[in-house]
Formats: sequence, C-alpha cells, structure tokens
Amino acid sequence: MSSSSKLKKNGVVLSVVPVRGQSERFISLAVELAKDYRRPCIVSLDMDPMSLTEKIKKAGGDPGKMLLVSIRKSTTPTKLPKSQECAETSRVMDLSMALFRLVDTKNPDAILLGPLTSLTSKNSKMDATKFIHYLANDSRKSKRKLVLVCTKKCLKSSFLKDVRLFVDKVSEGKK
Amino acid sequence: MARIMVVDDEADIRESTKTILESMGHKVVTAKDGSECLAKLRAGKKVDLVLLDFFMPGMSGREVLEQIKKDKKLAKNKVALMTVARMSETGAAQMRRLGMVDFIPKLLDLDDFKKRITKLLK
Repeated sequence: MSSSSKLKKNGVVLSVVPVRGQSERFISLAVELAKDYRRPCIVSLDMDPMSLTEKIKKAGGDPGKMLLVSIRKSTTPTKLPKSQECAETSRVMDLSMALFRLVDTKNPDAILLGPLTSLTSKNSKMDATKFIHYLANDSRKSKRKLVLVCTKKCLKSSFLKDVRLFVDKVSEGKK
Repeated sequence: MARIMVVDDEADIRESTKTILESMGHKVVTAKDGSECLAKLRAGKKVDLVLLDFFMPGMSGREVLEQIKKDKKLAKNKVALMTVARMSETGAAQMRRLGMVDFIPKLLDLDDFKKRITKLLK
C-alpha cells in the first residue's frame, strides 16, 4: 500500500516523521494529500506563507489547489490570497480562528497539521490537547480527513500520548 | 453506600456530581486535579470508585490513571473516566488496557449516569 493510500484509508491519522528532514516530509505529505483530495488544507505551525508556498512548489505540488494556514512572520504581506490564512502565533485561539475561517468558507475535504510540538510551545498541554480533540471530532463528523504530523522524538511526550487516544491510526513513513 | 472520589478541575462539575452521588446515598470526596487525587489516595483515603475527568491542567486523566495503576498500593482502585472527551476506538481500547473500567459522559443524562454508577459499584 502506498503511503498516500494509507493516508486515504483512515479518518484521523498521526503521521510520525523523522526529526531530520521533518519539513520536507511535511511538504511531501501535503503534495500526496493533494493527489487524493479535492481541496486539502495545509496547516503549518512553523512556516510563514511564503516559505510554505515555495516549498510546496519545489516539491512539485500546486499550492493553488490547497488552502494554506501558516504562522505570520514580520515579512508576511498584510494581504494574502483568499485561499490563505495566517495565525499570529501558534496559540490555539489564533490558530483555531484562522483554520475555521477557511473550513467554514472553503470546505476542505482533508486537513494536514503539524508539527504538533509547536502547539505546546505557546499553549498549555491541556489547551493543545483540547484543540486536537475538537479538530479530530469535527473532522469525523464532517467526514473530513485529518492528518496530524509529529516527530518520532516527541512521540513519547505526555501530550502526544494523549493525542494518540483521539487518532484512528499511527503511521510511520518510510523516510 | 460506597465511597467515591470525584476528580475534576471545574468546581461546578465537581460539586454537582458530588450532590448527585450523595443523593444516591454515597459518600463523596473530591479532588481538583490529578495531583490532589494521588495525594489523597497515597495518604490512605479508601474509595470504591474514582471518577476521573480527562482534560485537566497538569496531569491529564490518562496520566492520573497510569499513576494509579503503576502504584502497587493504589492499583486496585477502580477508575472510570467521566468526561466529554470522545476517543477513537483504538484510544478507548488503550485506556481499557491501562485499567479504566468505563467511560461515563459528563452528566448529560442523569438517569444513565446513576445507572452506570450503580453498575460499576456492584
């Protein structure tokens, strides 16, 4: 089974990537999702819109087919295309507002979100866990695919142990 | 009459659960988080059932459950999760493997809540 069909099969997936090359793996998951889904939403918790768009293009993906949520940096232009949203930080409140503006108006059929550890740098573990719990249940209810990305290193953290309780499958890629 | 410990960071939930359980004739002790729950159990508080919230500051319900089951003196305590958390099938199975005896939705249906508590205490 290819890794993209693995992603297609299960509702909420935790995709575990190696620490080294984690950004590249995240981008390649985004490109894979775009092959199987009509309108995927890519939520990067550590990239600004410019680098997210550039990296997707470089990996052979079409950012125009995707909805993008990223983190605002000082160089981020104030006006973004309608398919893009920026969160001020990876605080759950900012992120949630940016993400659900796109979910409510553009109706993505898949969401890729990561790296999960960035959530706990600006939020308490409880708030970060509640956010993922809400997102997982909303995705199931809306029959939307959800792929959460974390590194192998943080898999044993208490936050990830809680997150694993909400996912249907943990997938460890080949790379 | 049974002795039940209610562990929840939300005071309203803690107190309303306490009131309901006391109306059923049970003796109730409360804890505002996982640390207080473990401290009370380690101090020798005897209970027949621990009702544990999942989303709590500090330790989550899973972590508290793990701590209880790891501690030889506490491991025999019966622990149920009383929560709004909806886990996946694999997640629920994992919690059962850790030793959780039931998932009880947080006071959504009073009759169902009472029935489940009575069943768990048999």
